[in-house]
Amino acid sequence: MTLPRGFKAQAEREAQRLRTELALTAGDPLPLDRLAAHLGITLVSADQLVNRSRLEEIERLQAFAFSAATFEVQQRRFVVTNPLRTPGRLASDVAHEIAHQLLRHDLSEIRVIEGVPFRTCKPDEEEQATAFGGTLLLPRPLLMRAALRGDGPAEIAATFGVTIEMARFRYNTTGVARQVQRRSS
Amino acid sequence: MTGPPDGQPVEVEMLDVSQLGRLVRERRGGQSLRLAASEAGVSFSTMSRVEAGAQPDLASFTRLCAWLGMPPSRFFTPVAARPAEPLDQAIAHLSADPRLSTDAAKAISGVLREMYANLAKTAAPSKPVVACHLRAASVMRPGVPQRLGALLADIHSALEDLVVREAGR
Repeated sequence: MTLPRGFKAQAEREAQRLRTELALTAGDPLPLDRLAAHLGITLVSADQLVNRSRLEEIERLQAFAFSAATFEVQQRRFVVTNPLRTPGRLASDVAHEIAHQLLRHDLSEIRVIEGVPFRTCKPDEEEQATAFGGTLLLPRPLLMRAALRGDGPAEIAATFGVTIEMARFRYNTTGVARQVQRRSS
Repeated sequence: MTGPPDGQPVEVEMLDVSQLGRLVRERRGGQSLRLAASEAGVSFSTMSRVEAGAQPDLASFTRLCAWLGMPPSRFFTPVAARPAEPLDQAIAHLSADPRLSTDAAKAISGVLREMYANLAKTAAPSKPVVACHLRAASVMRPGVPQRLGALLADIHSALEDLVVREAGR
């Protein structure tokens, strides 16, 4: 599966537009709670709604079986997160869910889990949300500034509260490392 | 270990004979016993005994069910525990209507069955579809889907309560 032509550039523009609306500079980490509130989305930790032991039981049976979910209840949108995740992973999950909303993905697919039907998105839309979520957290100008400072994926992950995997993915796929190398040579 | 001796059934479902007798009597309506028995393909005495509440042999029981237009399984579960399907009820009433010939009742029942099969499909699903995008593993280990399904449904209910509470403030 590949992203539509022009998707990455559009995602960068959209990420920049949102950062401007939130009055963030190119070097600021993205405050996901502020972004969610800005978009009319409420972030809720699942353990505020159900007993935490149920989440722990599912996690024992299968790690990462449940990460996050967006619910629409009476025209209100809620992103419900799993409190058992690390802060970095939580950021990826929330950014992914918000990306679905920004991309206006319809919940057109029906996925049935033990008799309960859930409306969800198409697989290619999942890929788009993952890519856009990464762009929201680490847009190219932010990565460029960090790379020029000499920061690698580990430092970027620590500074901006994301997982090392996410920092490495963005660092490598945006080509900032090559660009910085060319400048210094 | 305690339990029934080998070869003994654990539980015997009883045939609901009184209901069979009542329905046969209703279906016969104003028809003579002899004519109804002939139509149903059972003997006059069987028809008479069934209406009086006796249990028929299996062959007669099957023929009477076909004549009533009802599945034999209908008579094997306690009526109170099994709600009658609206379609079965409608067809039972048609079959019992003395103003309708057997062919007329069958023709109307056929139309009803067809319409029900077509139109019932468009009805809303028995469980409401939960609007929810889910970031979860695509392949789940045994025991996980059940717990996750219940968890998400409960989260949805809790959010509905939250919205109602906040609207009341």
